[in-house]
Amino acid sequence: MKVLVCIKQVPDMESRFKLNAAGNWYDTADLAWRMNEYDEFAVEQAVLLKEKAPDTELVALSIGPERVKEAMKKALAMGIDRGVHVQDEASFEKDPYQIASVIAEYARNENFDLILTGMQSQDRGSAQVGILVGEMLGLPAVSTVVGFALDGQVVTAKRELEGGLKAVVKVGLPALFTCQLGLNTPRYPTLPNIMKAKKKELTAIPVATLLKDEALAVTEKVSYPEKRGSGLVLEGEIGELTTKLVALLKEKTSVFK
Amino acid sequence: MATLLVDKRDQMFILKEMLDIDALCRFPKYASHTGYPMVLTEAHKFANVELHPATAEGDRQGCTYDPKTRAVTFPDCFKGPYRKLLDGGWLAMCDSPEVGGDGFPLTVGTAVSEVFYAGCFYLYGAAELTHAAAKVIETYGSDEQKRIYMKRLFAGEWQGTMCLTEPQAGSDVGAVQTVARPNADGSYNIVGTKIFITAGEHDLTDNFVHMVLARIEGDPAGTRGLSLFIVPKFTPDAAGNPGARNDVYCTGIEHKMGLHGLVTCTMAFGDSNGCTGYLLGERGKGMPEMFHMMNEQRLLVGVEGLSFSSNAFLHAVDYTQNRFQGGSVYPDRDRNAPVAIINHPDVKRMLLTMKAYVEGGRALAYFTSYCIDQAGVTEGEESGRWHGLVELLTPIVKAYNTDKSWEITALAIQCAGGYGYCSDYPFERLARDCKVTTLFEGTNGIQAIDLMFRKLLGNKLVNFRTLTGKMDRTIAEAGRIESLAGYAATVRRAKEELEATVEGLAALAGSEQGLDLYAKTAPFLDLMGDVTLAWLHLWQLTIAEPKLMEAVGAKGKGEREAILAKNKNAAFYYGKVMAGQFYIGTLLKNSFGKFERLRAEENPVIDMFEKSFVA
Repeated sequence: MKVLVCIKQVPDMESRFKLNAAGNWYDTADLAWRMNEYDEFAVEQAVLLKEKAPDTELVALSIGPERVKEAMKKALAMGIDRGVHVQDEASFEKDPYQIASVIAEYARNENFDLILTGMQSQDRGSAQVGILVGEMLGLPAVSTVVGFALDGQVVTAKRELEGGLKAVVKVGLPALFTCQLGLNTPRYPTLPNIMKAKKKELTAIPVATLLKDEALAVTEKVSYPEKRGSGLVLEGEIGELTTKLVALLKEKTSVFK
Repeated sequence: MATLLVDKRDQMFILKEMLDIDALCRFPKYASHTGYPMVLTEAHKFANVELHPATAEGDRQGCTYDPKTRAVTFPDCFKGPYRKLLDGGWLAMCDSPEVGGDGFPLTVGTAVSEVFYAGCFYLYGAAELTHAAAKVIETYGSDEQKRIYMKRLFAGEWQGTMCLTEPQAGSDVGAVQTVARPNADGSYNIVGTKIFITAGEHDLTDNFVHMVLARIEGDPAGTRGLSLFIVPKFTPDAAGNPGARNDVYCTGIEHKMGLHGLVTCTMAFGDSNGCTGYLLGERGKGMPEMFHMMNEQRLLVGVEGLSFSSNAFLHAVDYTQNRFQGGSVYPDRDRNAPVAIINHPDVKRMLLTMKAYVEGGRALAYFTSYCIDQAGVTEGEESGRWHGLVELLTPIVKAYNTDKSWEITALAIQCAGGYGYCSDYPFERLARDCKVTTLFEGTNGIQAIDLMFRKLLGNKLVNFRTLTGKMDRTIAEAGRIESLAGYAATVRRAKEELEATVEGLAALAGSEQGLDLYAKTAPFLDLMGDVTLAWLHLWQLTIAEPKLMEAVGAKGKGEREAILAKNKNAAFYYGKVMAGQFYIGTLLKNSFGKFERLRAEENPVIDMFEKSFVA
């Protein structure tokens, strides 16, 4: 079996974000980077499959500048066999459709049985890329997966729905799945595997050779959330406080309606 | 990830910009280790996510002893992280691939150890002892002993311990009374009691391998008559699996000021006359063999001290940034609006003092490990010089960094005021826990005696001169940078006073006042630590100052602060420069008074009569 795992490098979400000069994305200077958290679940799922079926080939793909190799090396250290780095200094300007088309273009003739992506990226959060790749390749795509069991050529996947509901779907391979938090517990790369990762193949492909489509959407402007008024502190005796609180809730919220 | 354990940026500064580990990785021995930054990143993540959450609970819950079963239980929350630590392959990261290691430079290993100790001193402390036992067997064990014990210890599957101390044999190891009587099959029957045995019994590993110093019956008194024995808890069978229960039991555990999460045991060997031990290495060579383990442990204890200081410092910065009290005294700020107390000069003074000792102590510990790495890739006299520096600096790394940890954790408590004294914050735990590092593996008093008599005078100052030669080169280089010339001159003065002091001590050694030396050992170690840190700070300034100039130039306060607020890297270099300048320009001034103290001719310490301390 041949598995493709799509990973994205994103800033550590505890970073202090600043806007870039053009005002259309965040400034990438001074940031600490990591693998998109959702993608770690995808990598772990792939490695779990290989542990059960050692002849499985695991390929990780990432699009972006030179620094994304760090996230790829982590995936290799977790157990992915080889990496494909699609070199793109301006990946942040591409919309989900273009990113998906680059991945689809790469995957089209590679005969992957299974494609795993994160449910969304932590920085853009569009949650579109995985599903679009499935569509472009004509594969069934299952989103927000929190359970995954492969039996022969059929996957039984559990999807997370709104309101705590879960749905169980059965899908024949080849297929694409987007992975949600809680699917598994991503492993720490062991030191010996970090060492081995350095010897694994990491192929570079310039994005121009895979990019065929124009963007459908352009990010015009990003901005900080509007500052909200400060909280309200009520003071007084308990009885008095309760009266004030109930009055406020009636006036400003729909709690008692 | 926001981390309050160890400042990774400062670690990378020392590894990459100061010590140039990338150049070390050009030696064939380390050629495959260029990816060390990723290793450090993963170590931080592991320490923050897995190790650190176990610490506060480990302290609160502590270890328990059941006198009926003579079993020790570690806090429940330790099992998961301990397993993951072993699975990660971290224990043997600097060891040879032949024993299952990854062969990393020790400098990188030291950086990882600092992070892990800061994460959970209890768990990593236990694991590191196992590693030390594995190293002794690697060096002195027979092929059979290596086959049975070594790999399991390197992998952390079994716990290793160091059993030296007895009730009457503490710093005076030669007074050991544990006896070994030869059995017909070549093994020995061991009888005796050992105290203060860290991790001597617990429920995290299936077996224990005690390294026991004992005297074979009839061998001479003192350290020369001591031999080293392997005493397993369960004697391994032919396949190496734990077999019959050996007659070694934990008979009690200590109740301590701190270190609640790492058990300290009293171990009884042969209470029923059935304890079997196996000679490790040569008969009568137990002390030098044990010291192989001890030297590594002494450097690591220095790193333990450093990790407490680092942890306390980062928490103090975090606390003082978030505690708002009083208005600013700075004229350009609003006096009436409460500010975070990190803005008050007295709090800044405490924080900058902590920063200077943490970053100086880190440079000291990493540099000493770097000397070990250099000794391993060079040959002949050059290798000997690096090795000599390790010998000289080991007691300073151990004693100076641990003495400072007690001072720095106290300063951190002070920064947090009354909250610093309460267990809602980690400060009081860090202070309680760090104190033991001044006592572990030879008290700091013993370290000072080792430095004065063995490492300095016993070496006829050869290694000392290698060190001052290195200082001279840094001073000359710093002197060429205009803005650092004044600091270079101060460090030169301190170094020259140190040289004069050492010459004076050497002269004293052969004179009628030779006894005075014994009263000067600890003050001398403290002073040598001060001057060594001054050199290391000056070295760091020669790197940080030009980089800061590149970023901010000679701009005024307002413009400079605007740049520092935006540019994290520039802010880092500014902090390095401030810490270095504060250390050399302010803290080091205390040392000149200490020199005077060491030169004092009268010596009431030696003259004091033991009956005159109290009426």
